[in-house]
Amino acid sequence: MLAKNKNTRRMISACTAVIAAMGLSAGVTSQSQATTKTLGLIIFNGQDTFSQLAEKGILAAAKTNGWTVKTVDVAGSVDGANSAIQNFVSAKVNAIIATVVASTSLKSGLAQATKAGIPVVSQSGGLAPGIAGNVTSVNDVSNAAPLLDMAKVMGGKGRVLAFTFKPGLPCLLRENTLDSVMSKYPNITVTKSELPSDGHAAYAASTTAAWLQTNASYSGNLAVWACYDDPAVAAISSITASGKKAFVYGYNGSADALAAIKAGTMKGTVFFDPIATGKATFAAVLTSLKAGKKANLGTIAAPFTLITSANVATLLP
Amino acid sequence: MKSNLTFVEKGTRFLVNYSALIVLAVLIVVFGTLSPSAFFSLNNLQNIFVQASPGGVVALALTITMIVGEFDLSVGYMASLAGLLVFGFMVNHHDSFILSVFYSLGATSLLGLISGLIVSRLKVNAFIGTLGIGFVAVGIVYSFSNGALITGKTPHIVDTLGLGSIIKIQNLTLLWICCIAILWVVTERTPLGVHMRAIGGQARAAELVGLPVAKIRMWAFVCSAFLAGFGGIMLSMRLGSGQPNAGNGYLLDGFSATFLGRGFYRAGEFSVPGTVVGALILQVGYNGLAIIGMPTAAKYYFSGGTLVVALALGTIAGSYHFKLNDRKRKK
Repeated sequence: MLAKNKNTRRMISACTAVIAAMGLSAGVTSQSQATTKTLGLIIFNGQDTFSQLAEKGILAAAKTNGWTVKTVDVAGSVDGANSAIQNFVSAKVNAIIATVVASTSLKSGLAQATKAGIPVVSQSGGLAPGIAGNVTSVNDVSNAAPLLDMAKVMGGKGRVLAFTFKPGLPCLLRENTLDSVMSKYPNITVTKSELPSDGHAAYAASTTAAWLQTNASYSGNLAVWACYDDPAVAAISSITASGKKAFVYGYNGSADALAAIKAGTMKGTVFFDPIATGKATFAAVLTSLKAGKKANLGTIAAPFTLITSANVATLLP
Repeated sequence: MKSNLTFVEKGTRFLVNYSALIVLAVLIVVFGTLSPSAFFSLNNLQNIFVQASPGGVVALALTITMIVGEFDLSVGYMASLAGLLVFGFMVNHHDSFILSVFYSLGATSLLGLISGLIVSRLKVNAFIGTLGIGFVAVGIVYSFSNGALITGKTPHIVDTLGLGSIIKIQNLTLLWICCIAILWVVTERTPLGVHMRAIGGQARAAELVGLPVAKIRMWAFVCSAFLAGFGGIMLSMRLGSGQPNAGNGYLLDGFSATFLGRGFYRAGEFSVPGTVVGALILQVGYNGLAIIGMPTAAKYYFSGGTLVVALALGTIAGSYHFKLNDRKRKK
């Protein structure tokens, strides 16, 4: 009984201590509110090269406009993205940008931002109730560009290893395009491999090595397609080590991918200027603020270029 | 009864018994001082609790197996599985909410039963057994959804539970509180709870006095999987979709919360109130860091730091109580 009482006392003391701590801090005089506007920036996957550069574009545009930026990298956690939006609402930011994470999975975060009248702009996450606008280069045309080139260089027949990542919306949309384009090439066999939540490069390298091993005796055309550049670039080392030849395609036009195209180890990538995309996303924030609470900018397209050995010199002289 | 402890010993005992609470209070004071208007707003306090709720339930799932001296590495995967299944049944199969929840929790409970049988009857190491079952859960997730998120029209109750509130307390927080209350009663106020702690403390001795060690451990795994699934369903209601890997990250946070909890309530032991304080420490930390605008690296320093501190505190608390009891015996 004594032990029970002792533990109950600890529970009561816990509540008392926490309330006391809250009171102690609440008594501290609040600092004057800053006059500059603040942007809450949610990076879904900070290890992705495109996201890193898009972040640079957003930060540069924000700085030019005199905004401060609070950044949170949620490391692929959708729950973390919802929490980040809610925390930014508590921090009373003026606007929020969510990169890549599917907007349809931000229900609780968007509900709170909408209630607080804070616009949320998505970069490549798609539209959903509560999203003021979605800036994206991801569309059917840009998605299909490397796939059509791949089918052409393969002569319409061969085997493809495709790295997919369904939790990221751009990857999911590109996979849908992969399915639709490849359905027109019945002589190309596609083997899909879903990337895990982290460690994409290592996974892509080891899976490619295993796939090449199973195709050791195959003499037709081989290709590796990834829904973004990093796994595609990671696959190159396995292809080189195996001594086989495979056409490698990706998206985003990362520096590593461009260097690989120049070196002849990669066939193509779709280049979206990530810094320009970041700046366009911040511009959408300013537009949505001007439009007010009912801002509905829809999908805002960003340009793209298919980079191959023919035009890589324009980016890497 | 008059205590024979010296002032220093009393101080040490206080620090050991309340270390987790002290950490929580310090965090509140620090963040409350740095950003008082934002941190102490009603909205933010609601946020802290609602954000902690799904992960808090998963941490409780982990606590149940820890109390009986085992651990369950599948809890994060179970949460993902149940969260995905519940949306899958509602959206793709047009099942009712209740039926979808029943199927989802049934699936995770069945996997928990298999874990329990593997660990308690076949004597397979829990590390291997539960990790294996966790991967099976991932396999089911991918078989069911092909790895894609599931979203679509769902019954109104999903939004009510996921986004609604009663007297300023969000429904997900109320569900967490219900879980806490039930588990607290079971583990602290029933003979079963005493048996569980006896097994966790010294399984061989518990077996010698006739306690059904294997049976209790097996049901602890079932309970853990059920709770982890429940946490996953809460998470999916919060997201508004079923995500294939949404709950995976709860494993490490769950471990941090349970070990941090050893510094409170039953110092040196795993307990339900301790885990709740541990979960709040983590959530207050994540929330506060986001509000004051610390860079992303700070979150990882905090996560890693709290895990190390939690383990250290738990070890210190455990060894301190052992020494204290040993000295009492000698006297």
